[in-house]
Amino acid sequence: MLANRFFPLTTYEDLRGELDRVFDAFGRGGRGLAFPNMRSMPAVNVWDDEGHIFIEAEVPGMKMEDLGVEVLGREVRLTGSRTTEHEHEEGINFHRRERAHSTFTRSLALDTDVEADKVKAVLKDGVLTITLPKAETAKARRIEVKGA
Amino acid sequence: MTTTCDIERSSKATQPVERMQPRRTYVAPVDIFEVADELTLLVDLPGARADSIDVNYELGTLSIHATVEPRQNEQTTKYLLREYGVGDFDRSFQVGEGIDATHIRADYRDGVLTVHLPKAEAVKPRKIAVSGS
Repeated sequence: MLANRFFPLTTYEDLRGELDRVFDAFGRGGRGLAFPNMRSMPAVNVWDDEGHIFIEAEVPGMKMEDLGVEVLGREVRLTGSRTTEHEHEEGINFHRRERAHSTFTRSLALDTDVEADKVKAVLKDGVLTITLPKAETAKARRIEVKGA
Repeated sequence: MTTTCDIERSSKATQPVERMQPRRTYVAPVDIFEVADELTLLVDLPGARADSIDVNYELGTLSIHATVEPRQNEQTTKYLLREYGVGDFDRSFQVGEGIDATHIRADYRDGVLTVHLPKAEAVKPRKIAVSGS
């Protein structure tokens, strides 16, 4: 992997469109004083190393059975639903509702082929980490330079 | 108000300050609801641990602080997309004095902290019988 590889913006065009809309709606992306609207997506972080792509999403309150991870070619689709606890209880009075309470579907377009059958997903303390091994053909290869 | 500020300052003073990387603090989203005998808070604290969460109730103020270690080395990791940062969480609320402080319970599961604040007897809703002539 070249040390100064640039983020391929064209591949993530759909994602940027979504992100721009979230930023506009709340004036500032991410946390701080603005809460990202979880209705259409959980926030994700994506990074990679030599052999894997990692996707991490914060999905507090979800259990493994509430979540779905699908890999189709170069697309990763995250689905989830968090049922609202206490929604219909009698005599209950909500003073504040800031947490997300709905279903989501989010698709991410990768720029590398991955081995779909070796993808792992781990959920711990509301953090989902997906590890996608890169396909052999996609890994960088050191070419030995031989002198004449 | 002055009292609240004092509490925050003193709790920060007792925490170790030596850090290699700058640590950010985020505001945690919260749901608060009330039933007849209890006030309940649900706080999203993904990636925290039960032993690194501080919940304090003092003079009518409930404060929650969670210390969260970065999960990756943020200097060397090559992020392709970064929508959130990983850091500590902080939140305080004025819940008033009508809480039975000795019976406050908090548990942390699946990234969500639930704090149960039972109301003190004096403030529970009471049906008053009306006697007629």
